[in-house]
Amino acid sequence: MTATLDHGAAPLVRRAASRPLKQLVVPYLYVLPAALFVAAFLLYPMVLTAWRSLTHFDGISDPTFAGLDNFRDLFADPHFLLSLRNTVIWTVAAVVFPVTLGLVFALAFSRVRWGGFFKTVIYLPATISAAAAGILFSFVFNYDNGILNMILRGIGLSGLASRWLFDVPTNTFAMIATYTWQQTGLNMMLFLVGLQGLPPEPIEAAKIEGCTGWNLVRRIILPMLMPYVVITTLLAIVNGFKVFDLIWVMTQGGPGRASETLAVTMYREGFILFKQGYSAAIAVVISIVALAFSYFYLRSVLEQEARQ
Amino acid sequence: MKIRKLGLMAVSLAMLATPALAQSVDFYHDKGNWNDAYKTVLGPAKEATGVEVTPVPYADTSTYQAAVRAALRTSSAPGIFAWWSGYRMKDLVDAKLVTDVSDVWKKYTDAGLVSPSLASAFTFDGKIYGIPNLVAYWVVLYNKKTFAENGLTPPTTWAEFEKIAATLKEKGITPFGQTVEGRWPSFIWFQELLVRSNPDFYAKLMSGKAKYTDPEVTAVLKTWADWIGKGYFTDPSIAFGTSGSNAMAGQLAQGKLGMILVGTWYATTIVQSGLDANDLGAFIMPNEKPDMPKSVIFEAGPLLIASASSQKADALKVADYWMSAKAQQAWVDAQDFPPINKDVKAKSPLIADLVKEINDGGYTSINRFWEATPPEIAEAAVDELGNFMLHPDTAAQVQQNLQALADKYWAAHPQ
Repeated sequence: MTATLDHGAAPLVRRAASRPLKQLVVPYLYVLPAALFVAAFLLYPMVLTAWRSLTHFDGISDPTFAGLDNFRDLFADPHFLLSLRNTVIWTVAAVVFPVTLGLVFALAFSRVRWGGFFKTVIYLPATISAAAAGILFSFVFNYDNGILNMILRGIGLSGLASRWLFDVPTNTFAMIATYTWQQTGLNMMLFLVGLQGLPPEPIEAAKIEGCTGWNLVRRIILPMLMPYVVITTLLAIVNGFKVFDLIWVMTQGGPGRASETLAVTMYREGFILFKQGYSAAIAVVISIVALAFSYFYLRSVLEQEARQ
Repeated sequence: MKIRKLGLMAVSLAMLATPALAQSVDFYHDKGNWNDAYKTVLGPAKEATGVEVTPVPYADTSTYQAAVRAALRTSSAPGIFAWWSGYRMKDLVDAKLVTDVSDVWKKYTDAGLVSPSLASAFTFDGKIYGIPNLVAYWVVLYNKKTFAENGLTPPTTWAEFEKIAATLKEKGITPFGQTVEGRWPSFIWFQELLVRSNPDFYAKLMSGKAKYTDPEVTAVLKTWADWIGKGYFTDPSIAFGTSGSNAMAGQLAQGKLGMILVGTWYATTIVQSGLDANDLGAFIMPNEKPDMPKSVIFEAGPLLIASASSQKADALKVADYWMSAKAQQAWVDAQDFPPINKDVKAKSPLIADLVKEINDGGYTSINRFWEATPPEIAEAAVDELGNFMLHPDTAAQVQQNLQALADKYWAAHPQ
C-alpha cells in the first residue's frame, strides 16, 4: 500500500516541478490587483493610523514620537468620556430601534395585502444618504418653524415644543429617531430575505399542531431566522459605533460638545483642531472596541448555536 | 529612424508646452458661493500678467483645511489659497510654508493706495505673509423701516443703545439676533461686549495676559445674561445661514427682528432675504463710556502663497494684480466688500458711509475673536459660550472652563 502511494506520489511531484513557471505565477497575478488594493487602501492606512496614534502630529510639521501620551490624555479628557458614553447610547439604540422595528415590519408585511406598498414606503428612506436625512430632519426639528413644533403648537401642546437639536440629551434622541427612520428599511429588507428563504415545512407543521401568532414567531420563525438576526445586529453595532455624518449635519456634536460620538470627536480633533496623533488614538480605540464587541457577540452566538 | 524622429518631436513639444504650463496658477478656496466672483475678477489676470488663474472651490471648510495643510509641504501645493488671519495662519508662518509678500504690499503702500495698518493681521516678525481677500467690519445691521416706524434713530451712546432695545421689546419686536447654529457665531456678542466695555482688556485676554475669570468678563456675561433674561435676543437655535436656512436675516427683513450684530458680508444675505437694500442700515455699536476711544472690530481674510508650490513665482504676479485698483474694483463690485485700495469706490452707500465714518472718525481696528486668539482656545471657547447662551445661569462655570482652556494652551505655548 505504501509502495503504491509512493509510486503514485512521485509522478505528482515531478509534474509540479515540471509545470511551467507561467502556470505557477499566473494565479497569483490574478489575485495581485486585489491584494495591492487591500494593502494600499486598508492595510497601509491601518498601520499608519496605529503609528500616528503614538505621535504628536499637527498635519504640517514632522510627527514626534509620543509613546502612549495620546491614549493617557484620552482617558483623562472629559470630552472623550462623554463621547464614549454617547457612542454606547447610540450603539444600543442602533440595535434596539432599527433592528427591532425592521424585524417587526418584516414579519408584519411579509404576508399581508398591500404589504409591497408598506415595504416600499419603509424602505425608501434607506435609499437616501444619512447626510440628506440629517438635513431633512433638521428642518423638521427646527425650533421656530419646524413641522414638529408647528404641529405641537397647532394642537395646543406648545409646552411640548422644544429646541429638539439644542437641548441635551433630547438632541441625541432626536438624532436617533432620524437614524431609526433611515435604517429600519434596510434591516427590514434583510429580514424579508431571511423570511423568504425559510423552509415552509416546519412552519406548516407547527400551524397544523395549532401553533400560531406570537407563539409561531417565537418558537419556530425566530429560531430559524437567527443567522439573519445575528448579522443584522452585528452590522447595527458596527454602524452605531461609527455613526458620524448624521450627527455632523444635525448638531456638529453640539451644543458645546454634548452630542459628540467617538467618530465626531475623532473628526473634530483631527480636522478642526489638527491634533492628528490624538485623533488617530481615538480611531484606534474605535477599532478595538468595535472589534471586541463583534468578537464577543459572535462567539457568544456561535456557542449558543453549538449548544443547541 | 521614424521612432527617433517621433521621439524628438515629442520632446520638442513637451519643451514648448512647459512654459505654458508654468503660466497657470491654482487658487484654492472654501467659499463656494464666491467662485463666480473670483472667476470674474481673476479672468483678466491672464491678459494683465500672462498667468491664468484657476479657482478650485471646496464645499466644506474642514475638508478644505485638511487638504491644503496636507499639500503645503509638497510642490503640488496650490499657488494661491484663501486662509484665515492672525493665530489661524501663525502655524503656517512658523513652519515656513507661506511666502513673504511684503514687497507686493510695499508697491501699494508706498504709493499711498493701501493703508499699511490693513496688513497687521497678516504680519509676523515684521514680515507680511498675506494679501487681503476679505475685509469686513463687524457692525450692527438694522432695518431702517422698523426703526422709523418706532421713532428710533441709530444710537450714539450706550444709554441710547439700551433704550432702543427696550423700545423694540415693548413693541413686540425682538431687539437682537444671536445664535449658536454652526458653533462659531457664539463669540459674536462676547467679543463686542468686551470691546465696548474695555478694548485693552480684550487685547490682553486674546493674548493670554488676562483671565476669563477676571471681573471684566464677569461683568460682560452679566450684561449679556441680563439682556437674554429681558428677552432682547432671538432664541439661540435660530438659523443663521450655516445650515442653508437664513431665518435670522428673514426676520430682520420682515420687521420681526430689529438688529443683527455681524460682519458687513451679511448685508447681502439680508437683502437676498427680502429687505430692500435702501432699507438696510448699519452702525458701529457705541462704547459703554463716552470717553473711551472709538474702535471697530474687523475681520481680515488673507490670500496666501505656498512657499513650496511650483507655481510660486506666477502666484506672486497674481498677488500683485489682485491688489491693483482694477482687480479690487471688480472684487468690490461683485461682493460689496469695503474697498482696500483708495482708488476703488464702494459698491453700496451702506459700505461707503461706513468706510467714511471709520476713516474720518479715527476708529481703531480690532481683530475679531476668531483670529485674535489661538484656534485651540477659540474653537473650544465657542462651545462654552454656546452653552452660556443656551443656559445663561452657567456663567461662572463657563468662565472657569474657558480659563482652564486658556491656562492649558498658554502653559504649552509660553510667550
